Amino acid sequence: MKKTILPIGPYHPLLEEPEFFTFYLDGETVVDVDVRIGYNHRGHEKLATGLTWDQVPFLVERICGICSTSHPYAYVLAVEDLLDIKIPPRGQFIRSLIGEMERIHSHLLWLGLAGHFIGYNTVWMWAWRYREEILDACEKLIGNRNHYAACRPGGARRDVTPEAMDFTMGALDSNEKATKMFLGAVSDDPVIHKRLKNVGILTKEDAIAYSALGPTSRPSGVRWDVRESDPYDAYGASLDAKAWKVIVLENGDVFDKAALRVLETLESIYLCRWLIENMPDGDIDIHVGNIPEGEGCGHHEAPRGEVFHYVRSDGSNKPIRHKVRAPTFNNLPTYKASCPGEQIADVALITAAIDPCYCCTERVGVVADNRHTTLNQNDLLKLSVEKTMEIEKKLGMKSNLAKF
Amino acid sequence: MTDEQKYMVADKVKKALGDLIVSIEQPRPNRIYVVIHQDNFPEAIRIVHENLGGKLCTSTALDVRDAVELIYHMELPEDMVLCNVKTLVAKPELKIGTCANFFPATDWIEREMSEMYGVTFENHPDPRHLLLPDGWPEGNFPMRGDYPQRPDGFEEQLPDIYQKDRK
Repeated sequence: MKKTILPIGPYHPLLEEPEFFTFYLDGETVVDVDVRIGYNHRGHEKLATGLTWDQVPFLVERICGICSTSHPYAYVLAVEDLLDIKIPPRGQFIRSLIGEMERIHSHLLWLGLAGHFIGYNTVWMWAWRYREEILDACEKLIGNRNHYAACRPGGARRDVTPEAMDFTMGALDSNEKATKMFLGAVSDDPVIHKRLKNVGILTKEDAIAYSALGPTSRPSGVRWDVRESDPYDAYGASLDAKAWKVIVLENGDVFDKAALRVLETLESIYLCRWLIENMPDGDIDIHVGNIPEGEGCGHHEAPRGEVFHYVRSDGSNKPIRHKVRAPTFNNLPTYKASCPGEQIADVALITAAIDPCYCCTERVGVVADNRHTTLNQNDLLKLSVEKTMEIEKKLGMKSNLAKF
Repeated sequence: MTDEQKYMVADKVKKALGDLIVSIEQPRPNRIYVVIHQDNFPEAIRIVHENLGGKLCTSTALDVRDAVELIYHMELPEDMVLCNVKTLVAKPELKIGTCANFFPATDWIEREMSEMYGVTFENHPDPRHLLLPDGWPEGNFPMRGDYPQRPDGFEEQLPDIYQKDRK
């Protein structure tokens, strides 16, 4: 059979980070995949070398709009590693609390979009409704729904009030109920099982070879969570108190990636509750003077995996080198391992399962038998929804999916 | 894991890498910095990855006047230590062996360092540009310390698509 080339990309207006995929197909089966990035290179590493140490957190906060506390968090950990200082416990707890709140709302965002992709728009609406409460709680806690500016070298930038913590407890309670409902829905629904099980498997060997991170590697049985393997701030104490646990699953397919995110949301809710209940009194930060010569590495477990920052100082008021690595950089190349052998209708799901910024599915040009057909994002979505409806038909269920 | 146990990890790394090590230090319990000669560098990364179970966080390149310094940040999750493997690649040849053939995680980051700093990774399986466009003028390495803000003749060398924009 003739090989077909299926280009997907390069822009998607839904979320950030444009990418360009070239899928090599044999019939409907993917044989190989090539990923090109670089459409949105903003030069943060170069810009950071022109800013003072205290200005850089505001710059790196703008790298990502969803996990906006992860980059400043990793950066301040790198600077504190360079300085070799310990910050006051209350500052540690506030930073970890914001980091976990972010994980909850980011996972709910992904869950909603994943539901939308397979045609379950109810999941989409409900997940985002509960995400809203978490965002409101973030605003009460630190002053903004997103872009919190909660971290600074030496501690937290702002204190949290008891009223805000009470409000957050309420939001966490209602989210716990909702997450348990989602967990029941995922594990009971036969259509979701058929649609997601054994699709886009990333084996443990491949996850290690590609150094996949976070919710892309842990469903494949790789136990690597920076919060556990290099505990920072309040995470060490919370692990000792058994407030939460690291979730590791076995199969590495899309189903496990979805289940892991739901289970992790639940663990984050427990951890947030523990952090609020055990919030210590005292200062939130210490004074950081001149940054001496040296180098430091900092990493934070962001919702999508480990965020890594490296800084080097020559004793001046600016870093001479600042390296930023976002989790998607390590996770995207895993498509080379997880896509071959899959159907085109599943590709939208697999490429969404690592939770990149979905930017890939806007325009699809199918080059086959010298005829050019162009599929856009809706067509690809339709392919995916149609497959779900087919499964429902086979199971003898009455389909209630909206026609696209 | 206690700090004393973490300080033992340096001995483990010393034993695994043996003669390849130029120097090793552990300034904090969870950070190790190992310096390797550039000729032995891929072999050292292979040992840290395969024998010690190291996973690649990322790699950093730095322009240090007479050389480009490469740091491969390797996490050892079971030992709870971050092992930074460093080397200096001498200018002007700037050639070093690639790790991408046995460790796919290094594939993309080596492409990035190669286009930003001009380091050639010999026998790299996929030496295309990663972040810069395909028609980027040769010999322009934007992260180098001596890279001018407006290089001479840069705009004339850009591909046609940018030329039209300019006119």
